[in-house]
Amino acid sequence: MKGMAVTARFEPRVVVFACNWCSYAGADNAGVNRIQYPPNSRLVRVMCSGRVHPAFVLRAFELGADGVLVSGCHIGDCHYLFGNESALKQFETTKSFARLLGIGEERVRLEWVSAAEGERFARIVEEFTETIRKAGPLAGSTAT
Amino acid sequence: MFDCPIGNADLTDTKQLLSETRAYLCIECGKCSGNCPVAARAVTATPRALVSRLVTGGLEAAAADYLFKACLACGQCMERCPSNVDFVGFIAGLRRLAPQKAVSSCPHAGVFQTAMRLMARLERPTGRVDWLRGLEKRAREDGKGPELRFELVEGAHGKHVPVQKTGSHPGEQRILYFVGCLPYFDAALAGSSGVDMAGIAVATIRVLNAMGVVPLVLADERCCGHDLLWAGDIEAFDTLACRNLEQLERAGANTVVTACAECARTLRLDYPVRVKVHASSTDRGERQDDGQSIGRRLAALAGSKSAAEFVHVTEFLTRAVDGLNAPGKQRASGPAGSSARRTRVAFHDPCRLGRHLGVYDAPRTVLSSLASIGVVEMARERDKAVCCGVSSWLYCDGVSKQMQTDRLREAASAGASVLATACPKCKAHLACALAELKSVAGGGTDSRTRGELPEIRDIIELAADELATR
Repeated sequence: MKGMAVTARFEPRVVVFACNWCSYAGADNAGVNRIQYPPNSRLVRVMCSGRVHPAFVLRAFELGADGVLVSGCHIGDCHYLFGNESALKQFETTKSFARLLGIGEERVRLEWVSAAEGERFARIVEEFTETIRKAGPLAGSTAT
Repeated sequence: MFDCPIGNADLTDTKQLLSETRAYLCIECGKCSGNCPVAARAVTATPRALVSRLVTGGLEAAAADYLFKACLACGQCMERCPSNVDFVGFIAGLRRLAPQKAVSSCPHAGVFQTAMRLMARLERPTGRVDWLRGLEKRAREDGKGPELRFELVEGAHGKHVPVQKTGSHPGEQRILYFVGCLPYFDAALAGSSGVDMAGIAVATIRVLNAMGVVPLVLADERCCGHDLLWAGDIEAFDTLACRNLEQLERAGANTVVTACAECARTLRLDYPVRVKVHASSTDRGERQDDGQSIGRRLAALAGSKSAAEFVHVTEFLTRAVDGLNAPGKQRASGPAGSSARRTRVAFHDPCRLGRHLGVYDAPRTVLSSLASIGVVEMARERDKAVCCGVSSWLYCDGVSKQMQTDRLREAASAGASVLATACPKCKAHLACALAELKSVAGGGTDSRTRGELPEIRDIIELAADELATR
């Protein structure tokens, strides 16, 4: 924009997969309580964190994400009983792929957020965004 | 062996595709459909009809055909075609031209193809070294042989470094082991379906070591691009080809050994074609870009030493076996010398090694040189071998499963207790079907499906096991 000081700060693009039953409601809770957190994330609602196949996470990177956060119900709280356990298992594969491709494990994260934990959701997203900001753009371009 | 022209030129339109693959000469006899393993199980799928659909309905109509995504490019149809239509080239070219891409819709949700495109796009060092170090650890723990020995060739960390023509001294053999996508298969499959992929790499290095070869291994190797080429993504394929060829050149490798049938085909047939295409379009002055483009970098590789020899590990081994069996030398005999105690092994020819490259004898020579093994042949073998059911991680459905199940039963009825193959993907797909069959048979009493089905192994694992018993 003309006349404005150009700040070179890198604004990462973060994709957050949130499960319908806990984490999405947790994000909603953060909003209702007007808790501030960085606007860098794009929220994708899925029915269960167990649905988030490693391919989804890689696809997000392919489409330009700099970091991907997968979020579901706490262990034992899953709406589908053990969906988050399979999310945990699948996430090992996701991490392996991130390591192998040179994306780095720090760019992917799995967290449990309940519907009541708006504060926790905001804190996780804030912290993750800063991690990615430090890690820099994935593809070497600074376009946002 | 057939060299398909998918990479031959800058394919621009349907007409060119039809003439270059001789599809115009199709006389609609339907022999292709009679031989097609997909058509045998899905009535709507016929190669002949796909050709005529393109001619009459155009690209949109052809891309909506079931075969557009389900064709395995196994080449069975071409064995029978009286007009010598290059249907395999046709399908690859069609996928390249089609407005809607052949999207990977297998149970792996396209994870491999996405990873391959990321390998082409990301300009950062890959994390393969840790995985390779893991192989050393694994070999130490299984106690089946001495320490693995290989020499890591550091990558340029994704940056383009002008290729120096150094490396080998005249006469020096520099043998490189091209690992392929095994680390990715290992990550995705080892946990979920228990298919051992890292074992193929361990076995290959072990066998090479036993032959006195300490192979070079690229630390920053990328996928060979096979799957993207056959899915029609020629740009990503070129990037991968360029990065791999430059690294091979820098490593000064003059013999590249791979344990993957698809890598062997791609490196041997498709890479040289793409280098040639880019070199000739640069010569014609058609290129308007800067010197850093992938096309220019590929063109720069023309005439270089990167015309290294690309061999499948079974071909490499055959030379050594031939040396062993030469007149005057005693054939090595293992502990299980008597034929009665030999494990009965059938060999499943991978399409890319068999019909694509014409390598039928090398794996059989390797198998028959193993003393603990007796080779049996299945009803459909060599050029009549049926594909493992999935190609390029592109598509998998009930038809694929049927093909795999039929193949397993075929091996069982040939009396084989081990079904050996020479391609990691064949191993993965057949093992997947096997696991499914076993779980269905579960506690049942159906003896046809329980106990008698063969174990799936890679041929190089069998060779490494034999070494361990010596």
